[in-house]
Amino acid sequence: MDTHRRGSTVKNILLYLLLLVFLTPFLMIIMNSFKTTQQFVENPLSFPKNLKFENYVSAYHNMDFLSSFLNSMIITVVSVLLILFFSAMTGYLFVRFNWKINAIIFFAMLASMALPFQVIMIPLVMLYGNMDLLDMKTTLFFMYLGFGVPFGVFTFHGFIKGVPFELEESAFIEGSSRLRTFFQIVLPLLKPVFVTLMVLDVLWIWNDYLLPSLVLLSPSQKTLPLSTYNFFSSYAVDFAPLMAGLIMTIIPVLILYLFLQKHIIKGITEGALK
Amino acid sequence: MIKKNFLRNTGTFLVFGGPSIFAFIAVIVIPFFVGMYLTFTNWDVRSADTAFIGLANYIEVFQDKVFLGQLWFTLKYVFFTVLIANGFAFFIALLLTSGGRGEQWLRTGFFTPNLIGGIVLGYLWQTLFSQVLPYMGQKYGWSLFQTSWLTSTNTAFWALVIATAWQLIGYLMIIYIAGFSGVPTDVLEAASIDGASRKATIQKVILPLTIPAIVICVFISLSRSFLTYDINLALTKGGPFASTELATYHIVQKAFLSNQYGVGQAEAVVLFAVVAIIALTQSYLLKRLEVES
Amino acid sequence: MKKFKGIRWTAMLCLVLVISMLTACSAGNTSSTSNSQQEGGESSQAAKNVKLTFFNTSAEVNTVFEDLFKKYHELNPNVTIELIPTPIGGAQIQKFQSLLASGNPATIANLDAGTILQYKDKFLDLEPEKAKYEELTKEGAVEGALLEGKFLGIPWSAQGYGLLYNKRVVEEVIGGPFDPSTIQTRDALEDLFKKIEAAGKAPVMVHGADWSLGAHYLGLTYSLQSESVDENRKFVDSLMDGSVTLADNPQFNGLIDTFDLLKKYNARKNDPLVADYNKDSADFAKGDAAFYFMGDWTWAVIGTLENRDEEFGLIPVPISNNPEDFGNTQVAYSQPKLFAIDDSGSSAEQQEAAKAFLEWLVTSQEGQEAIVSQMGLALPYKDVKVTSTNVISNAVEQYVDQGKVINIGVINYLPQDYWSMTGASMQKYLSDIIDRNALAGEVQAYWIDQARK
Repeated sequence: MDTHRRGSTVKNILLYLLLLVFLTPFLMIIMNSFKTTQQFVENPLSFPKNLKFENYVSAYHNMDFLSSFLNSMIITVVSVLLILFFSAMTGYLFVRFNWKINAIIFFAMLASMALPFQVIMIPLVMLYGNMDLLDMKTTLFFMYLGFGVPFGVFTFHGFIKGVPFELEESAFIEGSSRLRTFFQIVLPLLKPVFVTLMVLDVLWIWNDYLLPSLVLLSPSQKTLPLSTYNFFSSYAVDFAPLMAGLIMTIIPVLILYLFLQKHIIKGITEGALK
Repeated sequence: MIKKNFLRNTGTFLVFGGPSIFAFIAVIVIPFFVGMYLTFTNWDVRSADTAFIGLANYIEVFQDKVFLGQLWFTLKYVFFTVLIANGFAFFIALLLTSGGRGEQWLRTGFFTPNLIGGIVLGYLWQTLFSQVLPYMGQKYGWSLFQTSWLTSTNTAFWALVIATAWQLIGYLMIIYIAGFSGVPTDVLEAASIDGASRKATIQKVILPLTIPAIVICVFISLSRSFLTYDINLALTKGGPFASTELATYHIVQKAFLSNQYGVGQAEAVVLFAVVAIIALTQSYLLKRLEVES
Repeated sequence: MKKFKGIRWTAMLCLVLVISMLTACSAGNTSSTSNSQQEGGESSQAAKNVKLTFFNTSAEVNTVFEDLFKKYHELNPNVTIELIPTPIGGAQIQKFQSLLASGNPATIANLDAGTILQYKDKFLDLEPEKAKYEELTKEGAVEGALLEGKFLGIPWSAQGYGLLYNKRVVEEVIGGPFDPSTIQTRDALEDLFKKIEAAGKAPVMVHGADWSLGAHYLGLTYSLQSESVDENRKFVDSLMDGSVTLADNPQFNGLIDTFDLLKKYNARKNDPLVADYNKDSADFAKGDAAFYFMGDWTWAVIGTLENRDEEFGLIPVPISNNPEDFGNTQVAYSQPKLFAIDDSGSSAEQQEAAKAFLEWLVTSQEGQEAIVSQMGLALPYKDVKVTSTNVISNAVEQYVDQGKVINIGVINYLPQDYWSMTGASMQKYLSDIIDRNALAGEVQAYWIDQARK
């Protein structure tokens, strides 16, 4: 018992040390968000002389923070919910129905995850530009659905396979329809996967730069990552306000993550996957 | 009867698969085929007339020694990134599922690198490698960090691997944790009652049961590191002297800076083929492992 | 029971989603149709509200432009201008192409002259405006902006580069006032470097980035062949067909001889490729290095620094020991960015509004204030009402006024990737990975490869 406890203390110390190394870049961001760019360039490791929030104020104005934040929020929330919901259904379809067409599409989706975005970038803007569909959030929701579905289906597929069919069978005997069975029996079991996938998709979309930059043309539609580009110039980067802007961009997702993380653990410990 | 069955199946297919498959086809499949078509033409955004030129672009790709060199460089980079990221993620996840105190904070901590996007992340690491580490190296006389890691090909390679792995570890850790939590606790208890050592438990119990998580993680890390662009752009800009251009970076330079869109596009298709073959083969092999165990 | 709660929750969520999706769709559709109707109505009612977009590749001055757009909108409420910010490096052209491909080109684009030439069919020929701008600008400014004889872009800023010097450091070393015209040969430069080194200072800062080495330093090879851009273009052509061997070219060898000198006295000798632009500029401005191979644009970094030196100037890069040789008393000078107006998807109203805005930008007090004071750039126009605080660009102006400039217009005709490809070879040379023969070989191989395309 004693050795066990000592082992776990050593383990914890090691873990925290590793974490410290892991988080050094972050500590640097926080520290330097209170310094001027010049102070940062001269010595990135020095501590800020005083807690001045000037960088935050200038980043807030420069990024048009409120409007960018709202845009990012709407785009992320809607896109992620669409992806989660429809991927779960399609994942279920692919597991439970052994049709040839399903196998083909599933394979195509798997393969598409290895597709460099550059292959479809120009055709994508050409097609949607010619249909006059650019510069609309709806188009972006739709595109995120398309890009997010392969990974979503892939993940749900893996987990739904582990759900014993017997659970559904009894529902069918009682005369429940496919759709209803899916919602009543299968979906609740997928909660941990749901939450995990949600976190991953939120991060992807929240931080995505390229796709919104191609689709959303007018400045009023700008998302947070597009706004952080205000700090990049042709030769150099204006680090101080960039770091402040970065922290303001990170905080919402950090909160979301902290909140959801409890649910991941809860969902799992309640034995939803058994 | 058959007809009725067919109708019902079509209905199920449309309800369950309709929206996502439609979006998938409209956003990925169709543009992909348009893109494929463009590789057989001399299309250029500057000129109005486009002519069919057959395989000329592909022939050019296989004569482009630089691209083939970069492809090899990319393979090495992917190999080490996948290995390091998965190794660390697996063991951190393992240590973080034993129910100790503070686990939740640790999990959050290891995951935080994923909260920032690629380009900014690249700049951060660039500052770290080219300013902070040499600064400390000179101050404390660490020979490893006397000069910037980004100014020689060899160390710049490792800088790329470290920066990518750093972000991937937290991401993969989450999936591994979800996978480990699927391992029923009674199995683990049984194993520990049987007096199985920690190592044996991992090897005989945890590993086989977490193969689905491993399949997912290896697949994700493979495709993500093959397609790395942002970090490459911000961290090394392909330098020093264009020796650390990963395949995607090279493709973008070719298509947009060198104005050889067709060739760049054809190179992207070749890259896609390479990645797809490797990723799908590994999934297939690992899945067979899962069935056997 | 708990299970059911979960289901109801999910089901409701889905319902909300589908509805919101549908309404979003229909809202999007109606708004877009009403927009197009509005636009149609407008054009028949003769230019009421015009919306322009502005593609900016000088990302460091995005906010200055945005403020100008607001001001202009106040003065001309019917014109709205929106900025399309661009990412960095090669991604800029990627974005530009995607806008063109999607049929949403920017009305006005602030681009490198060379890029405008690449897309010349997409831009409006400004021939009718030419006479007016010849009147407004300094002599040679319009001439220098012509691309294959066509006036496609309006000049708005001029830049010069060479060896910048920190006046305080140099004068402390030589113990008296420094006359830049005393350095007209390589040997004179080396003598000065030796003195600076003996005084315990780093003589020169060589920024190791590919754009500095490839475009600005090695790029001088093409511009120094003669004073005529056409002759210089012919020189590049002969590099491509192999009728000229770079390794035997006196200008190339002269430049590389001087480069060897810079390399020897480089402040970043230990790790020459780090190329941190902020740090290199700041160290020079604070006197850690006496010279810096860079241009007046670096004022954007230097100008705002605290505890920096006040006075800076520049001298040409001497390429030989004969003061008479072209280049030894002249500094490189160009109009790197031009404003071009789109002609591939913009309406006549938009084009007219764009022309009016651009004229306002370069002639009005507000516009000049922004370009000269806020951006710190030299405005090559006759009637400039604002004086610049950029002491480096003021130093460049002195060379311009004496006609002592190297016209580097030939670079507008080079392929867009020349600087990154040949810059990589220069980086290898700087870090002693290849020797001069290999450098000449690699650069020439690049040009021969271009001829194939």
